[in-house]
Amino acid sequence: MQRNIDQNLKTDLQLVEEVRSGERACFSELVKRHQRGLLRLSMRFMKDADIAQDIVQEAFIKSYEKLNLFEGRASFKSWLYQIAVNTARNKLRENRYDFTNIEDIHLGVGATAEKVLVHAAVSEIIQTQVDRLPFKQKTALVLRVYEDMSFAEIAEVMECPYDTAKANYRHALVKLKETFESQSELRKWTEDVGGFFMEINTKYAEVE
Amino acid sequence: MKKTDSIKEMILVRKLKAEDVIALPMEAAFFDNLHNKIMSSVAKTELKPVSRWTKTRVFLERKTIVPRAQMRKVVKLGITAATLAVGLGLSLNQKINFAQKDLNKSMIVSEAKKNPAQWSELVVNYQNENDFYADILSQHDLATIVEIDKAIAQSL
Repeated sequence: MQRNIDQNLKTDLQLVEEVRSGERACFSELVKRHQRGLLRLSMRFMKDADIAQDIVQEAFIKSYEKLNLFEGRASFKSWLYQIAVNTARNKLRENRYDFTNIEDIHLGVGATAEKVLVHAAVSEIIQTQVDRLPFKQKTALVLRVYEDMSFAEIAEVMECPYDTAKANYRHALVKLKETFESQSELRKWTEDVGGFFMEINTKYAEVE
Repeated sequence: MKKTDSIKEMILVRKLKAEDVIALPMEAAFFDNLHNKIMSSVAKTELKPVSRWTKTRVFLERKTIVPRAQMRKVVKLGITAATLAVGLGLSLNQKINFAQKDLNKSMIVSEAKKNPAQWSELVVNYQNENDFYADILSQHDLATIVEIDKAIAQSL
């Protein structure tokens, strides 16, 4: 019990040092700290929860194997996320995932359930549009928007210069903004059911 | 960039966050299970020792401004360009050689017709007259051989 409390107080770097010196059990604390975040990140790249879990597992094993290469210049979290992103990219390349097509989303249901379904469909469209972004842009967007990372951290995860990370993020946003603005289907739904696009359009109108 | 654009982007970011569809499992048991699975795999894994070469490679990779993937692309492009250049250069060189040879051949034929007595000297860039004939024969140009033969026969 006391040992657990001690480990909770240690920083990632201290734990890494202890693992290097042979305390394999300290790695358990690192896993506990980062498995949720890593699973969330993996699930953004993979639609399948089981594959996302595999990526988390693989990322932790790779990080353990290569722990001697971790120099502590970046945070352990950034380094771990970098491994996970690379693993996810390799998996995507291997499997060549097909993403949902907007046209495939079926909306022919009763009026009462329509609102709920349309909301779900809109969320799916957003997800589809995010998925359609080039990998680097998607990674930058996901890390910034959903993981609240700084551009310096994103650059570390993406192994690229600071400005490149920022540019990838900006390109992703511009592309999404243009897509949402240009889709007439979404406008119609906006008028019908409100929600995401209604708010976006209203706020855009206010800005203009 | 227009100010409205950046505000629109801010709104978009906020909305994207609000509409996040990723729902993580909430049960502690799920994460305990995942943790145990990871740790049992880690138990079978060993820390890789770092050689001096690995350290140098990592150091160099960090120091390069160009990312690894981009560097690989540049190297591939370089090799492709070099291969193409060598290939093109060789075929161009071959074409020039053929053109030169044809020119020589027609010059030899016209000179031979004018002065058949010097025929042997004219074909000096071939090893002998037979080589010259063999070359022309390989191009199925019997007419030239007949022409030269006639000219030589007339001069004798």
